[in-house]
Amino acid sequence: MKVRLNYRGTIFLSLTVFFTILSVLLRSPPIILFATFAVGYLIGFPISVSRYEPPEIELQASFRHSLLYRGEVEIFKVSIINHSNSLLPLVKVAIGLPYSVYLVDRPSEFVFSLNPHSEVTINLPLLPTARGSYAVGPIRVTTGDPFFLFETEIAKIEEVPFRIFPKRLGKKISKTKSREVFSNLIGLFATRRRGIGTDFHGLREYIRGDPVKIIDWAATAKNNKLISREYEEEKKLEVMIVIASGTTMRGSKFDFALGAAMDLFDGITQENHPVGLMIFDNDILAEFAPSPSTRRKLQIWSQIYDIVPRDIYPDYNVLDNWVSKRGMTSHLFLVIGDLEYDTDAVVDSMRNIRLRQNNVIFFDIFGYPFSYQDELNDAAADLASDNYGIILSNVIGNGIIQEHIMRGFQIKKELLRFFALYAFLEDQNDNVVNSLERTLYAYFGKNWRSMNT
Amino acid sequence: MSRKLDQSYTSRGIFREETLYYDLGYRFSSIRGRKPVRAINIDLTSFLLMVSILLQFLASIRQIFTIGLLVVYYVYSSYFSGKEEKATGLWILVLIMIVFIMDHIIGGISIAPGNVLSAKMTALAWVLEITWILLYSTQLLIVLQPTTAVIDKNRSVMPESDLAKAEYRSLRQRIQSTDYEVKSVKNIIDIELLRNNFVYLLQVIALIVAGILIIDFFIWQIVGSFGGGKNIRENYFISGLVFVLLFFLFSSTNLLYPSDAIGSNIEQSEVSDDNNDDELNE
Repeated sequence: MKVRLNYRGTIFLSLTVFFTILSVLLRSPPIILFATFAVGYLIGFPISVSRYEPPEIELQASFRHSLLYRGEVEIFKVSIINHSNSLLPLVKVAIGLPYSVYLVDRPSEFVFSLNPHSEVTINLPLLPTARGSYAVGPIRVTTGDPFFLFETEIAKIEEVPFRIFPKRLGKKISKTKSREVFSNLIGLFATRRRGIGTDFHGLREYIRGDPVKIIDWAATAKNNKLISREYEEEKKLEVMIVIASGTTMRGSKFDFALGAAMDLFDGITQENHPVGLMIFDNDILAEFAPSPSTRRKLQIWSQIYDIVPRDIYPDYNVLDNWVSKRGMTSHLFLVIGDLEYDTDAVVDSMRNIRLRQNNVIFFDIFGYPFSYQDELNDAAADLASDNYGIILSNVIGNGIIQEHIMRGFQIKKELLRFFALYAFLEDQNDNVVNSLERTLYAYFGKNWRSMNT
Repeated sequence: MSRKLDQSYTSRGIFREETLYYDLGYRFSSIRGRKPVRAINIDLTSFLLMVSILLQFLASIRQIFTIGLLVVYYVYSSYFSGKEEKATGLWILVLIMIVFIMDHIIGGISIAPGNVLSAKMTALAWVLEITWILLYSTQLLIVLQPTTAVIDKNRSVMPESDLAKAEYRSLRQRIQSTDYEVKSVKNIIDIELLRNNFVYLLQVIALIVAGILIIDFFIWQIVGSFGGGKNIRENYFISGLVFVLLFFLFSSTNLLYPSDAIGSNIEQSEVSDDNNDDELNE
């Protein structure tokens, strides 16, 4: 078994050199004893253990779920199994963590003794804080002498890769409510068309090429000419989620927008309708055509999880050109953006999309909760007396909210001119399900649930 | 609302504490659980320093040990502790140095480095020597004892907002009695681990000390004479060096790996997986 000095050992070595020199100079018995002790140990231990085999240790490490979402604590499990007959009095497990995850109430280094043929499991709760692709590692299991001056690595895992996806917003919403909202949304915007399906639509004259089995023989006999039955099918509503990235979206606001998009994606995929995604600023950053596959979802999220918005204002002409170039009609566009730069451009763009027979819902993410508003409130409360702080925060908060409400109100009216819908997301704790529910209620009244039946 | 925010940054500056709190509802925390090794070091060093200073004043025994402890204490406190402890350490150091200097000036006594042998070892010299060996080795052991993990303050967080607390609690409830169960951190020292290691350490120290003393007491003159020492001090030095080296070469490994070295042909009782008490922090 090969051992080598660790950092404690290096300190001890320098101490030993110092005391050895001191012992030669001073000839003081305790120092001589200490020096001999130390020199003997430093030379004797590595030589004497060199003939032993290292103990057989198995190391396993895994996450509870392979998908990590920002802000949701996930458990990382490390198991150390001793297959040998030796009792290892001192085993240290050091886990190297990337800077994107934090430990919740746990150290990253563990020391314990390991009995023969036993297993020690360490469960680490990790808090993911930033989107991206990372790896836990290296995970090193080392054993040492009683002073832990020498270390031997007995097991190692190089890295356990993982990805952090954006924060899920609608996690706390009940699935029933989510399904209800999304099925109603689909019901409101999906169109029916004639064709081969299951629902009877009506009768028409026989056209050459119709299959024989759809001919209605009773009607044929009555009218003295061939009559076909016509069925209708529900066309799958193709949904495009569009995110307007850019300067005003930087920081946690873009994470929030991605989270909102993810929730919309989930909700519509559950209804078995194809969903696509597009992200743009003054260029197209990511583009995925609508697809109903659930595997598609993972593909998309694994490709865009680390997109960072650029410091550039979004150009809505890019969106218009893209829609016209693809020739998109009868889609439902869910556009996530904000109105902090150029509201006219947004309205024009929505109009252009609407002119191509598409439906549009514009999601406005209010900017102020993502700025320093909360911190400002706390600072005010810190600096002044509590009452003054509350008053100040109320005044500032109300001012900003009022401004946003007015802007939202105007844009809502503008969008209504060409029958596009306006939805808003209030703050970090809001989510798309609630937002959609509010919007549908606002536009279709309290009977919005039964509109499509 | 009235809480002051810590403006500390992580080493890469990804997350400020404010952002962590307002975005996710978490806050950096120093870990609960067993006392970090540096705190133990400072405690122990200050305790030894106190004993040493008492000896200095009450029994008027001047020792190099005190100076060593002072230096160690000052280094620890300057590296690890807060501003207040640093200041205290500095004041104690200054005080002791003043006392030493005054001693030197008034009494005309220089500080004896240890208890230098003159011609023959007295009983007091023996007692002091043993005490010093024990104190030095204990100090070194506990300084170097790695049974506690050093925790980076900026790597561990605690849920702070009500929402985050509730979520973390519900997660822990959901994974209760599964493989991924997260148990609460106890506020006590891991006795099992300390016992396992401390017994080993004590065995090693006891054997070392006993061996050295026996060698010293009975054979140092013989071995020393072979070594060609001119006086008692040189004999002592040579014999100690030779014997401790030999002693370590032959004895240390058997203590460290008993099952491999001694009990290789003795069947060990198998420990069941349920008897898994030694999991850290659980």
